[in-house]
Amino acid sequence: MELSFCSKYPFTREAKDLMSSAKVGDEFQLAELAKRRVINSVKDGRIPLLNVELDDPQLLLQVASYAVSRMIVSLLKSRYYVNRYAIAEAKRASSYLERDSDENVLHIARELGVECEIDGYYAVSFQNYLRYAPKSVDYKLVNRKLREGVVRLKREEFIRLLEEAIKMKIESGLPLKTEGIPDRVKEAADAVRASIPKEPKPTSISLERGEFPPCISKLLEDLKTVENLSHTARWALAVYLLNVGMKVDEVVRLFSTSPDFDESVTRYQIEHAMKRGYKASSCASMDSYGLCVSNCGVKSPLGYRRGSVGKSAA
Amino acid sequence: MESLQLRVSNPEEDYVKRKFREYYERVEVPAPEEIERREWGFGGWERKIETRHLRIGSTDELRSRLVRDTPLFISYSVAYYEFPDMRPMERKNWLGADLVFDLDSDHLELPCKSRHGAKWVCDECLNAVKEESVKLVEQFLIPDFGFSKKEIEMNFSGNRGYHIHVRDKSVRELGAYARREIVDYLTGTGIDFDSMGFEHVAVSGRKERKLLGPTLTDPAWPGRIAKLVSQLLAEKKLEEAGVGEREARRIYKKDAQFLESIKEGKWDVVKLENKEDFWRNVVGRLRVKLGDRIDQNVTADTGKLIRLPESLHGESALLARRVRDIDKFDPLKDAVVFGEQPVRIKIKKAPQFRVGEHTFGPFKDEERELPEYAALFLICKKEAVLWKS
Repeated sequence: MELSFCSKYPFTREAKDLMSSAKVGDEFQLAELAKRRVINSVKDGRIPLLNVELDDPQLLLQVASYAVSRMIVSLLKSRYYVNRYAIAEAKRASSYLERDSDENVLHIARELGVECEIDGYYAVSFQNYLRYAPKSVDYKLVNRKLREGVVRLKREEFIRLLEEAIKMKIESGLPLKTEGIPDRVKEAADAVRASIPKEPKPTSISLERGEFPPCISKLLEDLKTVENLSHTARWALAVYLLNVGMKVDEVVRLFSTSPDFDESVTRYQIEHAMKRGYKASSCASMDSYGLCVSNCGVKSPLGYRRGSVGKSAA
Repeated sequence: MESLQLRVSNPEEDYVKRKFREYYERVEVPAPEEIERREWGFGGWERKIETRHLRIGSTDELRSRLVRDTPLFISYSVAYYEFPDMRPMERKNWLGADLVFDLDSDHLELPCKSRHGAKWVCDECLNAVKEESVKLVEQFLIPDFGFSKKEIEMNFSGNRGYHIHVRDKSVRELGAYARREIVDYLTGTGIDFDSMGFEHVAVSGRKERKLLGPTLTDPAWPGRIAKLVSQLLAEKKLEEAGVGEREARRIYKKDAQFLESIKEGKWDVVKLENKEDFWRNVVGRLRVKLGDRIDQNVTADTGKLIRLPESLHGESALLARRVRDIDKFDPLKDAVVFGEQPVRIKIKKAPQFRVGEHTFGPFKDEERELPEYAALFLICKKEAVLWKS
């Protein structure tokens, strides 16, 4: 497989094969590229694409820097950084996929175990669809034409699925064992640690039992376990917290533990919700978003009070 | 709760247990696939699950536990675990799970429920829940999800409904989110008008835009919606879908023409005065009624325990029978396994009910001699005690 393919998609078997035999010359440049890869991922949430034509030794360095950046991320010993790194790598790859040939797109899909047939649309099994589709209202299965177990997608939607599959593949391969990692990579990791923001600590929001309705408690718990919540879930949680009197800054801070956190986007949306005076979703809406977890006997999560007893979720 | 007296002496529990034991000695209950990877739960007189986190290593062990311990309810995990008897749940190491749906007549909110309550069933509710199960399988699981008939197992729950198991290996690894999405698909939760092929398009020379919509040949939800509305139009029942009466009458006058245009996806002939009403009614009729969010957890919860097919149900003494031919299946007859031998019981209260070939009751504070299967039925419902003269 050609070198440029490997540099766009360094997580593939082809890239791995290439690296097992290739020799990279410039150790210093390699470490610098790898550092940038991790720093950009953690700081900005994305790795900038290269718009210039690279010669072969440069392309090879790109591929190699992926391998080194994985060592660096592993040395940071944080699931948060790993997740953020995997998201950025996946976004980088999907940007390349968007302008790549169908042949390459299908090749990547096959490597990720996502069978696809192109018949004008990109047809995938509902199992793969549910595994990799974004957890948002736009991608709800009920609003898709599902026939004989197959969902047919537009190209950009299919690539969005692949992005998630890439993220999961990269994430599941990390962290690497850190024994035997060369000292110069360890030094690079130290340098990275010094220039990235600290891993956000969960805010000290007291999670006493019964203080919040079960749906909100569940969302707060999910947030704590460093899961990326769906857009709908975040929205419901943010608006609820604003409604019960939490400040915009506090809500933003709460979400900052999410690995795919982007402060400007989050702040914009929360301020928007505040300005418009949105009211927390009713129980019926929470239910239709799939966020209701209990039958509390109230009409809105806002109506839930400590000690109110309803049908238990047995 | 039930009187303390029952707890102390409890001849009824002993009797039911003895009868269940005799049955399990006589008949071998088939084990589920990969029995050694399942978690098991046993229930008794007081609760449907009294102990769980049990592991049963083989078909022989299952048989001996049924004969020796004779739980009044036996259920097993839809999940496969590496260590099914470890706790807490995280240590079991989840490997996957079957996809299971629970259809209970109690979820259907039928008019007969107000007559007999949730404790009892009648032919009306059992037929309705059967229809709902057939709908799930034949209108959703097979055409939309592409499962084959032989991957789908249907069994009577032993009480008020049916459990539908999908054994296809491709669904095993689906997580809770994916299962919730499947439930939302079946129940039409979060379904969106604009995603169903409805679209307002401008027509040159006309002020009003015209409404295009799904056609009869569309797959999945859009096709179902087109078919239902065509059917209601043909049967002159559009009012049931929230179309105003006057509007409906106007449409019926030219019904052939309207039917033809819906066929082609031209929907502007049906003026939807109250779109939300229409939508709620149409989706409400087409959705699979899987109960509320908590009932739906049977499908979404990947650690759920479910009744073992072909085992006895401690609230009815009926068998959770595997269904071969749903059209011919009569749960109140085909799930009866106990005999005709008369048993003397004292009945507290029971509405008229049918088990087997016969209809019994209503009863109120009376002593009776009923066939063993009917006596057990009432004792399990805790509406009768043994009576020795």
